[in-house]
Amino acid sequence: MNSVAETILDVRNLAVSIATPDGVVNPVKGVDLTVRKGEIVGVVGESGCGKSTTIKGVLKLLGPNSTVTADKIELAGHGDISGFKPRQMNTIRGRAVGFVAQNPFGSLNPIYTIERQFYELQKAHRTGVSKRESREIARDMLNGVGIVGPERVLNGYAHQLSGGMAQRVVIALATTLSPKLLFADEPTTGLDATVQAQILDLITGLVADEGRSMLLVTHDLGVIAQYCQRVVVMYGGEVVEQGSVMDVMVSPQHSYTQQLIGSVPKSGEKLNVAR
Amino acid sequence: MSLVEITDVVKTFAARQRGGDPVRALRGVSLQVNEGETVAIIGESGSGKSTLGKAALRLIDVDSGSIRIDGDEITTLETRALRAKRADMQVVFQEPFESLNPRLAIGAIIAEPLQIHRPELGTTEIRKQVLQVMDKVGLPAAQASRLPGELSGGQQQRVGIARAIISRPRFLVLDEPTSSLDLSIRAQVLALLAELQEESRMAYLFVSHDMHTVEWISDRIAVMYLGEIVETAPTRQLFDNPGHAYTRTLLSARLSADPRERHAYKAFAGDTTVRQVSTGDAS
Repeated sequence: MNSVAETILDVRNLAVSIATPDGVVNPVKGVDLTVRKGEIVGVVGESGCGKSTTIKGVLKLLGPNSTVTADKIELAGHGDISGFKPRQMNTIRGRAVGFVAQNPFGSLNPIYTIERQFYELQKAHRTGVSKRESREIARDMLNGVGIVGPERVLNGYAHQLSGGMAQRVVIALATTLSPKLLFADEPTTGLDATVQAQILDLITGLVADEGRSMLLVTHDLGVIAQYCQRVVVMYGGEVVEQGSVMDVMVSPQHSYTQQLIGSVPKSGEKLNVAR
Repeated sequence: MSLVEITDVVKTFAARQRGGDPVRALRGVSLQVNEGETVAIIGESGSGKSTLGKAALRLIDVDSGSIRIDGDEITTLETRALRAKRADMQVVFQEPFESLNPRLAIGAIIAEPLQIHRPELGTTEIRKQVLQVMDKVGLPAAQASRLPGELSGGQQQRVGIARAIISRPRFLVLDEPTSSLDLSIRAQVLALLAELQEESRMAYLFVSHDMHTVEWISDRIAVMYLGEIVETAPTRQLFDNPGHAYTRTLLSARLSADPRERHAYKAFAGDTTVRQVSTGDAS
């Protein structure tokens, strides 16, 4: 990819600790990662490796029982956001950074129409936006995510949408304020394979067309191999290996990465079964 | 004759909402599974693949058609005979935890099929066989007294498998048995299933939406779309030379973990997932 592209996000030594009734746990232990302009970076690992907690820690989306520390979290145009207060974070979320979570129905408000959700989002970041203007923008955004004839969707509620449609709406919302960086946490897990392919084509297309960047968290090595340029492999709260997808997926250096890739069932080959 | 003979099975569910259309989950489905063979059913949500798996065990009744297991027509078996037949046909579900009684110890869960089908064995013998089968699926004997909630997802699924095989069934339906498991755990469970089949010559009906998994484990694949099997073929042939347009669509949606292999996703004309998008799915 671009060898000297501008750095959009630079995270150094990110650590998360969470106080639980059984004591403090440390799901993320000193993670470094960088996202450059126009780049899709995948974060991959198995349940509990800290991949979701990492991006939630960057966006300060974790609960009050958690503590996030970092040497720095540098976001292009905003400087080091590691010490930002909740109010400062509110100006960044949505506008500088869009977030697409795994479950679209958890992201959408069940008792607001879709139209109103576009309105609330815009009202929060721009004073004086009219409902009519908001509706125009919402219609354009829904068209942009492949929803032809968005009127019915705008007037309806989340529960009336299929999983794939709901995720399209979430992607439209996440990109409405034109953030330069998108975070996606397992955006297609739970969707059918054909819908997954459509959504990933859509979201990566949005990144490429608009010169955005994306940090994509997934447990699916296929998503990494087919849609990302660089990959960060996490295990036990730490980054065990990172590099270009070609390098890491084709000739993994770390034994955990090798084992993970060996676990993908390949026809006619013995499974690499860890004991 | 095959061990499992499913012929022209039809199942329609009543509409969920008044005035809605009934759901034609199975529209005349025929499929055979031989001893020692793994046949996968692939398809997407709503294709009818799980319904077919349930019908094959008579966990649901079908409207018409025939299902023979080892020569017995199970669609018409009386309660008592059906109950006896169940020792021969077992199931492993997708969500291991949800399919295990959270208040029963692992040993008691695994013992249940024997207590039902072979009560004459007696407590000591049943206990012995429970420990044998636990060993076979890779569960330490010490876990017999644990509750399901104390086990990891992979271990829970081993319990589900142990319970399914303890009555020595000849036919096993595996309904997405590895879909909720992490990759490395999935590999362990798949390897276990393959090993058990090698020993016992069980027939597997493997319901899945994961192309990597079915490519690895199955001998033949049936592709379901909207309640019909659109294509059945030996695994290699299906992947190398898919016959039906929908199969090609499914194959194009699979994401290879090798970045050197590229598939461009191609929708096909009859694809409802695409139609939903173009009309706005706010029904």
